[in-house]
Amino acid sequence: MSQRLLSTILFLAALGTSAAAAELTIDGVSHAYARPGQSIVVSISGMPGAPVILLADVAPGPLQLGNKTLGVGGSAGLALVSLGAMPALGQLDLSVTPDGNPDLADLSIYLTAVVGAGQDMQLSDAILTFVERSVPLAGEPLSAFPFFQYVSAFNMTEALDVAVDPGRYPQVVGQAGDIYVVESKTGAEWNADPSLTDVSGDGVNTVTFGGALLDNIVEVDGGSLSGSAGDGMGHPYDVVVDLNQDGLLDAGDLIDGFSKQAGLYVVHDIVNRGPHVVVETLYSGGSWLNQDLYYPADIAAMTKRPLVIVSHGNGHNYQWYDHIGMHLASYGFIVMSHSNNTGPGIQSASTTTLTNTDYLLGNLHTIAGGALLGKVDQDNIAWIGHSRGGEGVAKAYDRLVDEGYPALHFVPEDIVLISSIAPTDFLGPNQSDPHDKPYHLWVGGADADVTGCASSNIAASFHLLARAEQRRLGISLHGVGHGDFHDGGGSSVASGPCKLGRNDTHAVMRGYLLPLVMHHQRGNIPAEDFLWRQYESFHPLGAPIADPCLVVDLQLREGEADGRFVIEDYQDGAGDVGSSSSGQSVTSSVTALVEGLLDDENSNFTHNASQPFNGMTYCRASDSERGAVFEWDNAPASITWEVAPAARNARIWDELSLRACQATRHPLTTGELADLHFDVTLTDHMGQSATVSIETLGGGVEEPYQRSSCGTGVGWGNEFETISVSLDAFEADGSGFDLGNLASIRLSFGPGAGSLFGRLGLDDLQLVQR
Amino acid sequence: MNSSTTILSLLAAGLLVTGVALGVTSPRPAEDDSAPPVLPDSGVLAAARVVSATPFRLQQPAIHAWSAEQLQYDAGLLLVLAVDDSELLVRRQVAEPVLYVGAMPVERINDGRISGHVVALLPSVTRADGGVAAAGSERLAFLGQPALPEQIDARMAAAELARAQAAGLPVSRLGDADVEPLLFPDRGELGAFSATLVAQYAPDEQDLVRGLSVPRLTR
Repeated sequence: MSQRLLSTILFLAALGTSAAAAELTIDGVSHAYARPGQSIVVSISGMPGAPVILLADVAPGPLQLGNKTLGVGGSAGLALVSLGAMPALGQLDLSVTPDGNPDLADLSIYLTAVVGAGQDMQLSDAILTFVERSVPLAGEPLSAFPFFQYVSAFNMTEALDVAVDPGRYPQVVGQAGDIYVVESKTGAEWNADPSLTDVSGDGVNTVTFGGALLDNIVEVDGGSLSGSAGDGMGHPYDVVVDLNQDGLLDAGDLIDGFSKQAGLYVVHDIVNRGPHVVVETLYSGGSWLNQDLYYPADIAAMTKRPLVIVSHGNGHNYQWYDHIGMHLASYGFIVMSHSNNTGPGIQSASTTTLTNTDYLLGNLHTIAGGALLGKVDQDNIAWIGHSRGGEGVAKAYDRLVDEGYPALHFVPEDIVLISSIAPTDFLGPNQSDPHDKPYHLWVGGADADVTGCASSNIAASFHLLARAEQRRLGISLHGVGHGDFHDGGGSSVASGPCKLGRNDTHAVMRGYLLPLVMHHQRGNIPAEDFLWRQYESFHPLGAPIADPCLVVDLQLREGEADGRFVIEDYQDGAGDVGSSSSGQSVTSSVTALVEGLLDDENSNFTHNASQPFNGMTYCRASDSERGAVFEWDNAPASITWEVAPAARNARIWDELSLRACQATRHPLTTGELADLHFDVTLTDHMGQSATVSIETLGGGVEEPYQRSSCGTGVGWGNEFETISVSLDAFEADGSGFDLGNLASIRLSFGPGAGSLFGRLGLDDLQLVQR
Repeated sequence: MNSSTTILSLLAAGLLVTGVALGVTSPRPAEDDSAPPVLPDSGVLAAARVVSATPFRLQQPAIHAWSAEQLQYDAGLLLVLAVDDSELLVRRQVAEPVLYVGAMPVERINDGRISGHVVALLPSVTRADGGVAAAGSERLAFLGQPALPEQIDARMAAAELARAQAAGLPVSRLGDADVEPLLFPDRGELGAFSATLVAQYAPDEQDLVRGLSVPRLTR
């Protein structure tokens, strides 16, 4: 820049000012996000006729000019543009199309507008941050607003739709464009070769875009795309809208892809075995060191592979987990199931988890003839445990971090995932504790051993989930008994109606265990979709959907380490329903709103109006897991959370997430045994709102499993399930709502907003990154 | 190949196909509950009868994980115990009845639910003459209150024994004091040997027998 001009500005600024305020905005906000190549509007307002100068720098301020502070830094890259005099209306709008270079992603440019001079000079700052070029295009149509849901993963045979939102891309309205589905390329590959080759079954789709989102939803493939991914999950594709129809990806075109991840992934039937032939071998390393090992037969040609260790339950057998070992090994994992000393108790079980892990890692030169030597990724271990063994794996990790258990061949950091199948909770808080590890839980609604009835803290599996500090994942299956989770035959150890049986249970297990370990141990992107999207709207292709008894409730709560902003998790302990855990006001018109421990007040599930947390089995009295319950009955009702200033710009988050459950045996639940629905409304500081019904997204809040006993009445424990709504959805179709200026979040219930009546448990309302 | 062979082959193939189909569309499990039987409210107290007692010694001592004291032992008895009400032996994840011999919880090697026989390990010490101290002694074998054995200390075990004695449960003799103990290098080899007893007295537990009998990789 011109040093002389800057000196002049510095001098002028030093004079001070008293004129009316100037304002600088980008696309109407003071901090705008734009993709490289995306047109933006820079608006400057101020005194008509005053000279206007725009400063820009990649370095942030503050830069002190006399008694003023500028948002631009004073780096050598500081640029200055003189824009002449402010027009008579006091508003200067500049349409700018920045460079389309994808390398600009994550770069911020700091701007300061200088309006006027001398005593009348005014300054105003703004920031433009470039985000990845990729824009959401692929997804599935919805029956109502937001009309379309952008997603990453599609099952093979599923139709692929593309939506171009004219509210987000007004430049497309009235324009024709060609839509391509192409094999995915990295940014560098796109730069080297921008040519477009469509691979969809329907060929290139030419569309003239309309002014409404519904006009611009196009099915681009009827389900013909390959899901071939070797021993991975998800074949990657990009979607391109070629707006100048030249068969090349240009700066003005739209692309879903061109980033760290592909635009979409087509996933094969993951319930079926993977491509590797599996070798299974049994051996003993000594007392309580009997192991059943599964690994790919062609492992000699492979790089290091993640390790999964299975710890069985009491009276079970380490040879009863072929459905896990064979399945995961066929996708390239190394799996070892070991003899587990569960009879004495959880401490002993945890010891055998630790000693067997150590034995395997320390004897790779002899085990399986040394086939695994140099092939085990020792920094990448998942522990899976069943029942007492399920508590044992949590205790084993607790001993590593709290007791300094002296493992010889691994450290706590090497354990990247802990998963418990129907675990007990003998030892309680501070003992059976997954601490900071991603923790996953399976629960069977018909479990007749670790029953989940309020009469026993030991038989309450959800306790362990609630102790996980970071990421929590849960899968609840109606009609599944304790014995259904292993393949040792014999009794399902099940009680209740509509039992699922071992075959269907294992199909579900295979379909969800693979994404679980694929995502947490191999960083697979589409695998995560299986973990957070409600089962009703997305599930493994081979899931036994023909079985009318199959009900799957999924939970996924992100922890601090995963990126989140907690609006309300009730963990402040104040019990004040008028104030959220994020310190903001809460207003509500629902009935009987109460905060408290998610612990049934007595030993049964019998409905009792004086026990608001009936059916909650998420913690003991000595735990600290809190939530809320409330109800509504044929009258509109709502809860509104004011959003803290720190979360006002919600563009940095991807989804609004919460978990909810129906209250078992309560008349407002039993009055209609069905999925329960409600609306979610976001409002900005300008009063603009947008509402999404969770029913539109598919699924809802499931009714409790209709199992009796544990008191009088029918209905088992309250089953939380996570509901996630993409924040983008609220800005769909030019809704007018500004996600960068979020003021409040409202959940609406009753007539006009979903189910007419109901009673819900609620927890973990948060903004998350995916 | 003659025609009858061909027909038989086709029939066999048909049966295989049928078998696969049946495997895919397995019938729905019965609606009947298959929960573990409810245990007596007053705490379980049932006698176990000693069927056999095999003394052993270990060259490398082991830890008895089935009591709070976590005693080290280098000798003991492999017992075969018979329980009349074998429903009490059903394994469960929540607390299950603890099997005692005297004032010591013993290690249960197998379930015994169907056979009524439990192979159990009672730790002891080596006598001066090389025998096993517990061999030939008279003890009360019984199923006590549900608990986790690793949480049962000597005082609690003594209280359970006193309860059993007060209930008038019979005392058993633990084999013969003069039998030469079997010598094993370590607890792992003893575990593999115990599979022979499980196979003999609880033949329905074949998975366990196989699991205990797998080849020793290193020593």
